[in-house]
Amino acid sequence: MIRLAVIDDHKVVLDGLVNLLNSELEFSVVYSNSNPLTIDFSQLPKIDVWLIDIQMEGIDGIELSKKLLNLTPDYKIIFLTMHRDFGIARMAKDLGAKAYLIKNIDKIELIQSIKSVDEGASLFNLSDLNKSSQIGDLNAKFIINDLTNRELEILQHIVGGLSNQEIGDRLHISPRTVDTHRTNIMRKLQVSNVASLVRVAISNGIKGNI
Amino acid sequence: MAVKHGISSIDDDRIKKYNEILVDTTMEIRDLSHSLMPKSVSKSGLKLGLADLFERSQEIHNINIAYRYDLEISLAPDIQLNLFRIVQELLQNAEKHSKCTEINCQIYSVETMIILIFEDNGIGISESNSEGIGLISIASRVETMNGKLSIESNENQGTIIRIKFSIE
Repeated sequence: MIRLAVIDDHKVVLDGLVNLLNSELEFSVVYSNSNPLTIDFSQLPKIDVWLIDIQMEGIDGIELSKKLLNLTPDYKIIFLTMHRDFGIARMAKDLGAKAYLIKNIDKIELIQSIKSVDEGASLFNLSDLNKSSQIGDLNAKFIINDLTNRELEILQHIVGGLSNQEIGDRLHISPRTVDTHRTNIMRKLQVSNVASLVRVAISNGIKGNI
Repeated sequence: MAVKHGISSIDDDRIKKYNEILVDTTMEIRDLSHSLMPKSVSKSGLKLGLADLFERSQEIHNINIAYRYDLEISLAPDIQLNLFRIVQELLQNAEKHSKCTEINCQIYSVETMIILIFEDNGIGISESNSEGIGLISIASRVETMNGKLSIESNENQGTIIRIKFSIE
């Protein structure tokens, strides 16, 4: 019997996964939670394999896994995510997770993967993933919520291809002030150049203001 | 006359003249070559043509290049050629003058606007060298597309070049 824990902040997905996994004779889902912030680490049952979503409200799967592995290095962690992202997969592998699965896999693949991981396999098919993306995109969504209205406004202009001077002209502030805002935004989104800033903004649904 | 001028002065004049011819010829060859569609672009399109360009550049220079092409629509051949030449010129400028270690090139769209961002982390463009032939040819290409060119540069803080044009 493989004891499973499933964490996904989408309730329907979570319920579906739990049902699907419990219908397997060899699996027993002993823990599931759709709000990772409420996990009580001191009250966990014995768990062999964790199935964890990556992008979640409050705490992302990567951070959660770090905590779990700190607590119990024997945990076998599988990420089940929509992010076809080389950088994130790399990060997952480096922190000691056992598998990185994309959510479009079918039931049989999922079940087989869990069994393999339980037997000690490591499943990272990094060549399938998008290499051009970078570590750092993952948390941007949460951080974009931390931007002030002014910063968001300026970010939309940056995505729209405007220079500091042009943004300053539109908003009736000095280019230097725009530059300060831009520096702050870049720091918050953890990027080091404007091109990356644009990429992260677009991938998080920021609409350009042309 | 020759005696009056002295031999070295005649040589100087000639050298000057030859030099002018040489510069003219070089520029004409350059203009001609720039009006031709590079094989990589005509064969596989702008996206892959640029990828090829960057890859070759990375093999020669010690510059890390990140490149992202995010356009769903396919651009008209003359626009593809224009953009290719612009990026080629920007790349050459960066390689030759900027002393950068990183280049970030991104092409994407917002509504019907195509936006190109070319950014390096080099020494920046100063007033004295901003009128170079490279930038002039870029500016004229941008103009033919009714586009806008902006250059944002501070000493030792890199350069961001943005080119925008509408495809409607």
